[in-house]
Amino acid sequence: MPPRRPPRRAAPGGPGGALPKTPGLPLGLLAPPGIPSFPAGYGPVPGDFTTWVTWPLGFCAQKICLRAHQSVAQTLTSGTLTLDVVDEDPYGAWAAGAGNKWTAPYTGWYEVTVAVYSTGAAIWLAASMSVTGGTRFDGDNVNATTGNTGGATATQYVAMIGGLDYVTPQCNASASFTTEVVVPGRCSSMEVVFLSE
Amino acid sequence: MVNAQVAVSLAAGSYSYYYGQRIPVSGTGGQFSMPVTAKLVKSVTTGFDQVSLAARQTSGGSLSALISASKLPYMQLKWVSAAAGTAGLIIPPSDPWPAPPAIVTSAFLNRNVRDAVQFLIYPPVFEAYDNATAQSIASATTFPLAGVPVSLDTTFADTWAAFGTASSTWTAPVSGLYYCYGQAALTCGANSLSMAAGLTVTSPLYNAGAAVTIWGGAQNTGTGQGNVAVVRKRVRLLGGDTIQLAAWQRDSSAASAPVITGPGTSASTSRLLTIWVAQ
Repeated sequence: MPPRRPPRRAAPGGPGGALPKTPGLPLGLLAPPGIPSFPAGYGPVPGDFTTWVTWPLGFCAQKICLRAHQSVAQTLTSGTLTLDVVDEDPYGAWAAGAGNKWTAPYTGWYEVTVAVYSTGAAIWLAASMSVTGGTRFDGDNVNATTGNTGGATATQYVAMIGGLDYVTPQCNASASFTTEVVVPGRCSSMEVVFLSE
Repeated sequence: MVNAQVAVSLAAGSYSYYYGQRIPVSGTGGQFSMPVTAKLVKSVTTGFDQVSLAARQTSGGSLSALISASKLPYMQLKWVSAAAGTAGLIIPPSDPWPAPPAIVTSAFLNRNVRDAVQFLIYPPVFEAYDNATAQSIASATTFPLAGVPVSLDTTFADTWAAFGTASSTWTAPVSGLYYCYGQAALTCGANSLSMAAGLTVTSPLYNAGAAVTIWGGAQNTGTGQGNVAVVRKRVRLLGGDTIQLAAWQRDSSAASAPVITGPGTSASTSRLLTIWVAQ
C-alpha cells in the first residue's frame, strides 16, 4: 500500500500556489516560514520543495520592509511626522494621513528608524517613535543651529504582533519648527525592516 | 562634550573603546544629549568575546544617565555575517522546482540551495576608517548638493572586496537595500558653529544619477575641539552604485577643520559602514 501523503499546506496567494508578482519581490508576498517536516515514506512533489526551500530562502532574502519620506513641509513642536511619499511598502502595511502609521504584517522583531530634519531654527530636536499609540520614545537629540538644516535619527528594535501593533514616526522639539524637505538629501523619513520572529 | 562608545573585548582580553558621535553636553534645562554610534565587531572566540555600551564625557564633573519612559541609554546588537564565506554569489534566484519528466540536478540544487544559503550567511558587509590621511574640510555656509568626500585609508571589514581605498569609494556588489552609517570626525575651530556627516550616493535611483549627499543634519559644535557627527540611512541601491563618506562644517571665521585620524579607539575617527539587508 503506498504511503499516505500528508495534506499539502495551503500556499500563500491561493490554492494554486501561484503568488502574485510584486515589483521588487520575485516571489510575491511571503510569510515568515514555518519549520518543515519530512515524514518517512512521503514522496515529495515539486510544490513541496517550493514550500520547504524556495519560499523560506526567498523570505530571508526579500524581508518585510518600509521606506517612506516627507516631501511637503510640516510645522510642529512635537508629534507625528506626516510622511507623504512611500518609496516602498511591498506588504501594503502603511496607512497614510495625519496619523500615518505602519502596521506589522507578521509578528516579529523589526528595526525601525525615524529621521527628522528642521529648517534653520536654533532648537533641540529629537527623532522619536511611538508603538501602538504608546509612550513616545526619543532617540538622537541634537542641538540644531540657526541657518542650517538640523537633523536627528532614532533607531529601535521593536517587537510587534502582526496585524495589531503599529509604529508611528514622531519628533520632539524644544520649540515649534518647520521640517526641511530637500529630497533625498535632507528630508524626514521612516524605515522599517523585519529582523526576526 | 559627550561621546557614545562601543566597548569590545576579544578573547577575554582588555576592552577597546570605539568612539562614535561626539556632541556638546546639553547644559540646557529640560534637554538631554544623546550621542549614538554604530560599529562592526568581528567575534573571534565563541563564549569569550564581549560587547558593551560605553560613554565618555568631559564636563569636569559627573553626569547622570537619563532614565525615563521615553529616554534611556540602550544598545542594539545583531548578527550580520559569518566570519568567512563565499563572495560573488547572486542573490537567491528562487528558480521554480523542476517538474517531471525534468529532474532535479546538482546544478539546480547548488544554485538554489547551497549558494542561496551561502549568500544569506555571508552578504556584502563593509567598514573602513581614516587612520592616517591628513585632510581639512573648508567652511561652508550652506549644505552642498554633493559633500566633500572624506578619505578612508584603512579597511576594517570588506567581505565582498567592494571598497577602493585610492578613491575612498564603496561600490555596491549587488542590488538591494543597504544599511549605511557614516561618521565624520573634525577638530573644529574656535569660531565653529556646526558640522554634519553625509552619505554621497551615485545611483540612477537618486537625483537622476548625479551624485547627491544624504546628510545627517547639522549639529551644534563644541569650539576648539573634536566633534563627531553621524548619518544613518537604509538606501536602496543597484549593483555598481557607489557611496562615499562626506563631511560639512560651518565656521563664523571661515576656518577649515582638520579631519581627525586614527583607529578610533583612543579618540574619534571618521568611519563608513554598509551592510546588505534585503533584496
